Amino acid sequence: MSAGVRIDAQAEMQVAEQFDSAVQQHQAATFGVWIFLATELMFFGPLFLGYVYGRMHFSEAFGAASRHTDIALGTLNTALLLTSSATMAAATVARKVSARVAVWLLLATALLGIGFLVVKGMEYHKEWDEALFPGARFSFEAAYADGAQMFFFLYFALTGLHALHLFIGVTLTLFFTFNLRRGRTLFANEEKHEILALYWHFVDLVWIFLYPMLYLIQRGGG
Amino acid sequence: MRYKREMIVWTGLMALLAMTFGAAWLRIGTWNTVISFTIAVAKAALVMAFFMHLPESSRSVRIAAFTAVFMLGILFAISGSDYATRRVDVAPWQPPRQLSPIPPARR
Amino acid sequence: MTTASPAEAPPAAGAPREPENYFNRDFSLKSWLTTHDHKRIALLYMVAILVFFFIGGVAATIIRLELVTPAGDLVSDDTYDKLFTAHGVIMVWMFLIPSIPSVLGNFLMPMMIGARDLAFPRLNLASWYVFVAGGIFTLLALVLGGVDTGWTFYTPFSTMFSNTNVILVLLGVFIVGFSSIMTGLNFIVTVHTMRAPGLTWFRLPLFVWANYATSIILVLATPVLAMTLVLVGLERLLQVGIFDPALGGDPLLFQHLFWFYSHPAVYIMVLPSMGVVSEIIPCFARKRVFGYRFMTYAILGIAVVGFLVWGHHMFVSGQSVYAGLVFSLLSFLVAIPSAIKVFNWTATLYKGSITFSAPMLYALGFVGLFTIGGLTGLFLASLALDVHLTDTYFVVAHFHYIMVGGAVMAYMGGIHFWWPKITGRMYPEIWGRVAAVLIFVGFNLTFFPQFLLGYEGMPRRYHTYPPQFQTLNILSSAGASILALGYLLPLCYLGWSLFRGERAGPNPWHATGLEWQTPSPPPKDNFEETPVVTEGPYGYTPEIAIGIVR
Repeated sequence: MSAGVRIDAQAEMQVAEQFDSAVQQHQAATFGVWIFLATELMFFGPLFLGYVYGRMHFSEAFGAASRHTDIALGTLNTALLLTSSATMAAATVARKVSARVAVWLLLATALLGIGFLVVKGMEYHKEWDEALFPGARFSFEAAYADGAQMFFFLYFALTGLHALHLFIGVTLTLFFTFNLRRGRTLFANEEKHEILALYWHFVDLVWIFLYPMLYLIQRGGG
Repeated sequence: MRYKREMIVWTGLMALLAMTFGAAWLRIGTWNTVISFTIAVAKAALVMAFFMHLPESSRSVRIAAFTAVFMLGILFAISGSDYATRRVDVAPWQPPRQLSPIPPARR
Repeated sequence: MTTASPAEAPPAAGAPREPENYFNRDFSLKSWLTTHDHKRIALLYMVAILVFFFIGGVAATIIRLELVTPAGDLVSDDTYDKLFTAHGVIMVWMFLIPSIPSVLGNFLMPMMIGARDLAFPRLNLASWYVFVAGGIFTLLALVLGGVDTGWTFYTPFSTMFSNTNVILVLLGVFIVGFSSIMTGLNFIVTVHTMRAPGLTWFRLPLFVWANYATSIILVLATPVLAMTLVLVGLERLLQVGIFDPALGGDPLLFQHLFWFYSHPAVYIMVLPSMGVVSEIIPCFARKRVFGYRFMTYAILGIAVVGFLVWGHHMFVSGQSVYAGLVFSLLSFLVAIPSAIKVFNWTATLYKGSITFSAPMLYALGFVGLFTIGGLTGLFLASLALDVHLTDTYFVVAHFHYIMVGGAVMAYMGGIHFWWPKITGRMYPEIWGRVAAVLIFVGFNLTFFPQFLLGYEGMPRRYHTYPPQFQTLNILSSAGASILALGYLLPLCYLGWSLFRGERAGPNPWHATGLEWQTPSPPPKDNFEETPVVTEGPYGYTPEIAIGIVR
């Protein structure tokens, strides 16, 4: 990345025709994305309820199953994602003064997200090999089999849904980075950057809860 | 330093992560869950306050954020009241009777 | 270039050219399918839900034909299961839920707040495409092979024992749900951020309040349904056991999750219709709404408390009795704001100058039939009574009184009321009234006997019944035929009015409200310049109703 990035001031301030002003548009966009995040939280809701049910009903089995998750990789992933939130937040700060630095920080965010997905893929591979994927192939010590299968069902559903959201976030961030780098700020203006950042932080928030829910049950033993 | 805020929050998040990882290995029964959940809430609060700028956002935004969490709470609480107060009379498991297939008469 | 489109007849030679409006500015199919105009999107929705309504109606027709005789002689029991499932799925998700919000709400909300469009017009168009795609997908699954679980997909039948197209229908409904979420999000942001200067919250028409509250329910509840359907699908595929007691799961977990959405869903269906009625009654009584503030609090109260009562669908399913008590009490409480609204509509009518126009007939029908539906809901909310009434025709009658006697009649009333605004044409008033009366009579003849049948113990979702129930069933089916005629009539005369109806001015009903301050049909941007609002809604004077309705 050699030359600086030029921002198209016109594109920064474009106001869609249904709005009366840039302020109104910005208010609407911000509020809109928060409502969207609320719907996303409700979307995860039933999985959380299923988890609460399973945790209460199968406390020992959930503990045994949780001990089969890879805590090292899970903790690493948490660190990656938390860091990516910091870089994304820094990118929105940078955006106001230097688009070039913002591009670097956005790229870092995307790379950290990709790192997370790669680690997750490694975990899934390991769990598949250990016959922990629910369904016909599932195998676990007999006493805890039912509860463990339910745990892993929720584990794959929750982390899978999360990974899907993260994948979308990474794609959008890369797209954003590319456009910002080229100075095509129609798709990469400050307002959209804030929206992207909110989405990214939401994905991080969900993981902040998934980590203890899935990796830290009865780690010290039953 | 321009990114001072982000760096401080990041340090805080890493510290909390280390705490939750460490505390998980203690054998303290239900307190494990309490501690890990509390730390998660603390991390979430940091992210929402300093990265998502929730305190500086409009009232409508804060209400939206609160409402979603509150609705989940309602779902958990009232469903939970069913599970907490249900009387379970255990009966031997009977597989459902397999009926013979319906003759393909009139459709 | 003009291609297939709902075109108007070209003006007669020498006749004055119509001014440009949202409808006639471009007749090409492409302009319709790529429009960002909320008014055109509303019409796109109107056509789509009309198609689905009639398909759902066909299923109902076959059901009522089968039930004319006690023996199961028209269709087999499996086919019957597929029919009532199709009827429920189509009518709930593909007709009722989108009806008033996506048709009337889309058309009117921006106009009622003085805006040029919704906050996110492209999201609006996307919601229609998602709706149509999901709807067609669901329809194919229902028709090609069918599903026999009921629209409620109860586990463990749906997850373990049904061998029909369950996963396909789940997927279809999942897709359609996202259309609702998009619409709800759009409405909330629009009402918060795009009101005209001077239009404070408590100067908003009740139609706006009603759709706003509905949108809150849409965005909070629908995602829960979406994930619940995914869980059912995954359980079918993997047999993990979340809903299977043999593996430690709980079938009631499904029911908690399903009804957490589906009870608020009925408020999604009824709140907008209350909003429509609140617009029609003041206009045709020439009186402002009685107790406007309480009406808004009641709307919000229904939305909030409606989220707390879902367990009343589960009283006999194995739910804890103590939870049942809580749900029963809350269900009684939710009747209070509804009752407040009924009282206030009645008080609005009192000493009003009433005209029995077609919209008013529908609105009055709503008030009466919704009251009956609501009162019978109280029967069902009582634990002891529900033990006997649950899964009988009493429940069927109860919810049809609300959904059909209530929501559908309000939709019809709204379509008639705003028809001049939407199309620039008046419908023939006599036929409007005839259809309204036919629908009212047909509806009551269809569903009132079902209260009696349910009380006497006839169970729902069976294609056979003991012979002593036949008389009432025949009455019900006869009523259904009248109801069907009542629904077909507007299709004819409303369609006719598009070509031959008298042209309407901006405000043929002399109604208040910003939408009546524009030409009929409105121009693309709704207003020449953004209106400034200086007073509250419903500024009606008790003028004599001469000349308002011919």
